[in-house]
Amino acid sequence: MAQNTTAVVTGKVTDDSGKPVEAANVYLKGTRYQTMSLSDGSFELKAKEGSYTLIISYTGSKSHSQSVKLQAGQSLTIATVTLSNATEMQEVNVQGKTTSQNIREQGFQVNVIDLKAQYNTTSDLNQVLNRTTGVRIREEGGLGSYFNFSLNGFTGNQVKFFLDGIPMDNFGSSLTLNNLPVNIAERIEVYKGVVPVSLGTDALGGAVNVVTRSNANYLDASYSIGSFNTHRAAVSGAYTNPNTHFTVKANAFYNYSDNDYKVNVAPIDLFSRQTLPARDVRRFHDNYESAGGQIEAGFTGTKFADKLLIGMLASGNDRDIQTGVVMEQVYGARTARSHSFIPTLKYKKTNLFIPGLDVSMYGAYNMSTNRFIDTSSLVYNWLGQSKIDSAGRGEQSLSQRKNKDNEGLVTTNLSYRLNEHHSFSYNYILTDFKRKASDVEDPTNPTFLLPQRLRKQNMGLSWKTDYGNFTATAFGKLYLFHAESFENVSQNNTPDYQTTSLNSTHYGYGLATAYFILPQLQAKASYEKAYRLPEATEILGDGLYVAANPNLKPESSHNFNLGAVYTLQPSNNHRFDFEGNFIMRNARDYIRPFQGQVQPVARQNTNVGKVATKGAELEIRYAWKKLIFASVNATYQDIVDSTEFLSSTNLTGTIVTRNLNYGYRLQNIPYLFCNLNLGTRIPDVGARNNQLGINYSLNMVEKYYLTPSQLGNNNQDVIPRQIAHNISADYAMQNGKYTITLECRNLTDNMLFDNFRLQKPGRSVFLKLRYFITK
Amino acid sequence: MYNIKQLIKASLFSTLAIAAASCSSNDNDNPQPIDGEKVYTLGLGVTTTEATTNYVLGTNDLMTGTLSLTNNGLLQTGYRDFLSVGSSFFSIGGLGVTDVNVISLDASGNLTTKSGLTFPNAATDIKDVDGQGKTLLATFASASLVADAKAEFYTVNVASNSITSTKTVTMRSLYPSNTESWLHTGIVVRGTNAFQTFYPIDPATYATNNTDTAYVAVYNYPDFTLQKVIKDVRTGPAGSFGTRSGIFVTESGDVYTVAHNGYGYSKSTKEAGILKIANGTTEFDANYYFNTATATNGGRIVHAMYIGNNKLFAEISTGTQASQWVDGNLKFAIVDLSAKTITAVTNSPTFTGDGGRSFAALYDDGKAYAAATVNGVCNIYQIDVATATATKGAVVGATFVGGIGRVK
Repeated sequence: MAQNTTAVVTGKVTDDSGKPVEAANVYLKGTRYQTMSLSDGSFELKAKEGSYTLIISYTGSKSHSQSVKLQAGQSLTIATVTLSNATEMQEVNVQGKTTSQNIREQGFQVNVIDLKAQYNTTSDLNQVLNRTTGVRIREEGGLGSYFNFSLNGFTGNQVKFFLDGIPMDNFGSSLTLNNLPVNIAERIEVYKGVVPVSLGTDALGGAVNVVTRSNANYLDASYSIGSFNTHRAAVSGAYTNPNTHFTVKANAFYNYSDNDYKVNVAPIDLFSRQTLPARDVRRFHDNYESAGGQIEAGFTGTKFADKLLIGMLASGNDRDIQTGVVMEQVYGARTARSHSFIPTLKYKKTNLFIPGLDVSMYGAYNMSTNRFIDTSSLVYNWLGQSKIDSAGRGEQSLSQRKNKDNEGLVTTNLSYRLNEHHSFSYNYILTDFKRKASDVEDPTNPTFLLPQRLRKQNMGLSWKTDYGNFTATAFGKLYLFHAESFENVSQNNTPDYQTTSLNSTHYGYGLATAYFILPQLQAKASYEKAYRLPEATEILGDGLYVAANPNLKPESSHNFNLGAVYTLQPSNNHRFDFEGNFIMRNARDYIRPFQGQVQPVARQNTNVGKVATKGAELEIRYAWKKLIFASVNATYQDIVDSTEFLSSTNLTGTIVTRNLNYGYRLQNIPYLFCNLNLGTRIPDVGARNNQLGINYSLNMVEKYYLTPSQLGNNNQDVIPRQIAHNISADYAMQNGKYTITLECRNLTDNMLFDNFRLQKPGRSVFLKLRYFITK
Repeated sequence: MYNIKQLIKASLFSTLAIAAASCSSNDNDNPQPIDGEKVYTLGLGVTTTEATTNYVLGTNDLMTGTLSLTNNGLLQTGYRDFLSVGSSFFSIGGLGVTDVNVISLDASGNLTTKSGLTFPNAATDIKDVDGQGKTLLATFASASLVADAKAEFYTVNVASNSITSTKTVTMRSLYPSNTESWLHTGIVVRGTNAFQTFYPIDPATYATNNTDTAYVAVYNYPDFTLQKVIKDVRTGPAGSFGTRSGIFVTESGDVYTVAHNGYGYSKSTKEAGILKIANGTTEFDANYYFNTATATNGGRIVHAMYIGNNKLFAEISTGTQASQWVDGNLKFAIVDLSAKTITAVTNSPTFTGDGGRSFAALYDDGKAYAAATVNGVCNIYQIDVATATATKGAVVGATFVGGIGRVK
């Protein structure tokens, strides 16, 4: 039996004041043997006999290490370990297994981005994500602009976003990744293609989970100012009373920018309508302002709950819209604004009733309002000049559209550890989304008559097994879908709008495995049959512009990942991490509007697209003596249109046409991009406990085409290769209590583009001041 | 034990290998001169799963082989409408990009593009004013309930590709209503008058509640002051959404309005038919009525172009109109407006139209050219007007044909 060679280490972890530390990581260096301390600080770790280094680490504390020698059958109790508070810099450079690493060592293909290392930068979450493998975020302009998030080529609602496990797809435009500063979150997890049941919605291409900071007591305040009159402020903090366990957590952010960066365009003379010579002009209608905050209060670390918090998330934004989809469409008055209020409830308890049974429940109710305002009678050009447009009001179309979205969200997760080899997890997510739209400029529009509703219940059951160096998770998912909309059922000329509804059920499944071939080399493989269920209007129509298509199938995909992680530490001074992944996606039944006929209303959505993706991602990280850090990553994704015929069944019957892009790469998606990062941290500069950091990064996106590149001759639709050099320096004083950062992006002022050749800012400079304390 | 340099090298090389593997050149900057006595241009649309992209392709042969866009053709940004004016082929943007590209053949036989002009909005209609190839009339009219919304008429000098005049008319002055607006379906210029056909719609739903009357707005030309709106209840409104096939003028100055009330109409209350405004008058001719629904080889004339000698080259739909936006069951036909006859085209396929677009057809030396998609394959058809016989021509390597022109 295994116990012949197995030993047990037990002990206890406390903080400076002797209080037990819960959820400290306890592990044997270089192995998979690991556990977490319980609420009384105690831990028990089983391992095979041998000599090890035992490491105990906890966020915000200095980690502890000691040698242990385990003999077969031995039960070793070590002396109580006291973890002292760490400075922020040590927090950044915690060695050994962090939560991030634990997640990475699961079978899932996941990028875990530890944001602690980014707290001194002026980035938002989008900018951080854009430097990882497989992810491309293309923004339409400067701060706060609309963006297209692409993960291995999947975009839009094929990728789902979560905030602490709560689906945030409908949280409104002020609670998106480009609004959230890095300082409010602890890490971001990007699951590629295969998603654990705990994030169990219909994510065709993967899921992104933003995890907010979990320190019990801290305050982090920062303010940055920079080019284009950009101001960004962030405050986050937490307080926990050690006696009453009363906890308050709060964070807030504020963003403002004029976004008046220079673009190179050929303006149009408003009178002659002739194009003038190209020149550099400043954007003139692109102000963006957003603010938001979250406060949670309750109890942590009590007998009845590890966590019981009620909270409120509130945010809003106000955006000027400078361009349409292309630079040629220039606006001077269109705006959009939104606000969201989201009360939340979080409950978590480990070892509920019986040991090994953990439960967590999140609830939220999302109330968002999004408004789009386009009432100007003027036309504008890039010189900022305007002229009355006699053809009508509205720069694009007259509108004061208001979408009121209400969404109930409940997630429940039950997990049970049967023994050290087997654990089970059940997850339930309910999202119930309702939209009521109105427009004072178009009060009789039938699409506003009745609300649209989409209720999804997603259940997932997973079984995880661990044997020594092997871990595997098998899971099944069940999607229950209920959509409501309305349609005109009139047989005569008097409209008669009736509610229509539809239910459907779909099943998904998958497997994620990982195996340590050597203590430093882990191989991973994962697969999921994934779905993206249609939106209510896609399947049921909106009563006017979109006609119902009850036969619409969900988008589905076979997602497969194969990867390896290798760590090499030739000496104490050098450390290399290699991570290579191969991805394969075979997606079908993409939902697209029927394009076969030009008509203004009653277009149908159909299942047309088949896309096959093969890709490779590689990342290498290197560190020397905690002084020099370097990393390079590259993503190559060959996303090929494998739809041979475009078949659309419409009112007139089935129309089949050959797809001329069959076998060619999908247009308008970057297929090769690289990031390089070089940094140094020099301790004790100027004074003891002051640290200087210098960082250089390079981002490269290979040229790509906006249209099928095999068609046409000498097409002017190339997005050329883009290279941006960024450099920053930060000086941290008193162990990170005060930090000042100077950052320059796009140092060489290169032309950068995004979606449809929309121009991005040139060189920009930012200064950030940060104050951080933790207990 | 480990050689760090080797490792760094190995990792760099693997990164480069990924980069190199993905490099491929598909730029083909070689101009491809087109020789031959006649050079045609085609406005082609390619629909993929992601979007529709438009190109202009030059060719000296519409009748054989495949008209392929592979490394050939000029990419046209955004949604496009095409118009042949003299020896120029106009490619006009709609939906966002509203520039006007004038494509012609240079001395060495290459297609060249003259750009510079950008319309403020998507043009509802574009027209060679007098068939002389020198002056373009662009009409802008989007249905709106706003009380002072205006329709605009731009005159464009083809040679300089510049706007020479801009005139407006208040939309409500044509159809006074605060619950309905109207859509433009065609315009012709005859001497000192312009005639515009339109039909009333609910601008929110595009429902057509009033289909009992044909309407023609009569303007003084070229200043576009509205003289009057003439009405006739023998047919419903002429033309339909986007088709620009509502009104035609003959060499002798007779104006004909063509009503079908099929594609684009939520209901139909009059039979499809043609009315006349005789030369020298600005009123409907009470003595002329051509019921195209009951005529031999008749039906709904949804798409049509004037080809001279009182004749239209048309696509006629038959059978019942299944619903408002169906543009199906079409066949080629020749319509004689003065003799009131419809001649079916022998060997015409039966096909589905592209809906609200200008009619992609060309009349050249006794032959009409148009495209039709049958069983998923799009072909050019050449119709000999004298014999009313269709010949299947080149396969079109695109999803649809948006325009056909001749530049040499």
